[in-house]
Amino acid sequence: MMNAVLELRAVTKTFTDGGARGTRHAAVSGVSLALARGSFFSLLGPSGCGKTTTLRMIAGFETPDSGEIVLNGNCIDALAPYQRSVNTVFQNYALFPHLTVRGNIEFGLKQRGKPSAGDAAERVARLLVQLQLDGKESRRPGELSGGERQRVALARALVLEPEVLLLDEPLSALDPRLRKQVRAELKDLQRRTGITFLMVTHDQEEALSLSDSMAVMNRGRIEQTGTPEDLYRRPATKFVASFLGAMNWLDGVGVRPEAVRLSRVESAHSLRASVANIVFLGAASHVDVRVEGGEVLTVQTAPGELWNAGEAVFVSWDSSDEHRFVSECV
Amino acid sequence: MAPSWVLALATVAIPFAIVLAYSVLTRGAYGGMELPWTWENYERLFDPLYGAIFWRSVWISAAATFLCVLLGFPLALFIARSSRKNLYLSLVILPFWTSFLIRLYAWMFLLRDTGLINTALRWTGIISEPLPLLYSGGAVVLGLVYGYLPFAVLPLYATLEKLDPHLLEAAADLGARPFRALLEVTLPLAKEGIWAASILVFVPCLGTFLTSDLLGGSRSILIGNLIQNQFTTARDWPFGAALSIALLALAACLLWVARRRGQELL
Repeated sequence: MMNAVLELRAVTKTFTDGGARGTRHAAVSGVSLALARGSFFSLLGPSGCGKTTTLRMIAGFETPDSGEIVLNGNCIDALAPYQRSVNTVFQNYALFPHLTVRGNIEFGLKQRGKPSAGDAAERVARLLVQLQLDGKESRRPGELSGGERQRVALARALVLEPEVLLLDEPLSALDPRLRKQVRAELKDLQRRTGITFLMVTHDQEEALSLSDSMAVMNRGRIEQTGTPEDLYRRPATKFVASFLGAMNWLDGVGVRPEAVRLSRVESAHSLRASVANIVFLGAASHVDVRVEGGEVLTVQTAPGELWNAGEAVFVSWDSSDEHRFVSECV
Repeated sequence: MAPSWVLALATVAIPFAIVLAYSVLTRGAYGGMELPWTWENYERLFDPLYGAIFWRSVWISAAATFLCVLLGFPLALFIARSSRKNLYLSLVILPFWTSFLIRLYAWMFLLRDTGLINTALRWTGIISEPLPLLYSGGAVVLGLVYGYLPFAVLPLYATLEKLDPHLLEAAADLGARPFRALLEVTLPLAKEGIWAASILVFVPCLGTFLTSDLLGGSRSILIGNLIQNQFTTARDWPFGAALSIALLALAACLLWVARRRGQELL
């Protein structure tokens, strides 16, 4: 058994819509997770899948109806948010607008005691440098850029050295150009601090690139847990297969675009097709081909290859690249 | 554009000009005003007798304002966080459906020597002599707090309702107990509302004459009563006008200070 810093055991949360007589729906049902100490864990899923509710239960803002949340071997279900040694980076950062950058970062330390005391002051100074906020200590959140605000939110939570740092869609409020850069910084920060990160996101690319391990959630349940590579290469359900990366479906069998070969020469097991559309992506191209029978497959091709719309081609793939799932509705 | 200027001219500028003109005229032998122009009315304002009345007004208004904000804040917070905001807001405004005069009479019935409170206390044997509740500074403050509490609750509600609930979650997340979060997050962020509430209560309190007249008795006369007297029994309209201008100047100064504090609700 790994050294789990945080465990969720069959956690369930039901919400009631529209007052006392409204309909009840399970936001999270029977979710079990274990986070290895010092790892970067992502909870990936579409909006409304229950991932944020899960995060909020860990932070203490929602109470599970059943199940247990265990931090460092102790059940924390009965603890108020201010008693839990987890900290959150909120989606909109929720920085205190009336406090300076320093005031925001010292807020948590002040609740515990003296923020100016040796160790704490050193930690603040170190984080200010680490997150490139030195020189901006006396600015207020309103005077900061989106990236700077995000770094203040990170510093404010990290300064308390939480057992687990909870990040709710931390990159979604950023400019798309900035997102990739901040993504790399986030991973770097996690490695350097050694703090366990639990990130909630709907962006599969973010989850795949950042996580040591991850879970895919759908409709309140965990579909699959594993390393990003595991989940991408060996998706356990049709949902995971289509949510993580692109997937072609032919008679219920899934094939990734990069596993399909395109050729002008017929070979054993190849299908006859015609090129319908070509999407140039820079490092690769996606060629949509229509196979006989009418279905469209996307094929990823190397940048040097040249294909023309309307051209007759043959598509093939190794049977080991086929993803088969027991019949279920998607 | 044009109609609003006409309205402002007719309801604010012209009456103000009239009062200003009255304040620099001489009192007529049988009331009314006469020439010549004079500063005498303003010189009389510096009489220690009137100074004391000004101070008493400021103190009583300040006390009423402080209590209104103190009581209004938790009430506004409760309404802002409740799921039945509209119901509670209607209840806050409900007293306005009855004339303030009638509501003050109701207070007199409660507070006077043979009133409900004194009768009940004597009946239970807690006191033998009635408490002097009515006709005191305390009764005036009570009446003002009662009358102007809605003016404090509404702007406080407006700021507290806007407060991002994530900020309180963030405070709790960072280890702040609810009371610390109230002091360090809610209160500083409600500063604008507190200023607006203070001004909305303080300024009308300063000019009040009805509450002090009915609940305060003859000894706790306020500026409002003084002004009222000049226009009625004393028949000294120019001095009454000068007093009004002085009161207006005081209120304007307060508004200016409040605006400099960066609040935008007014």
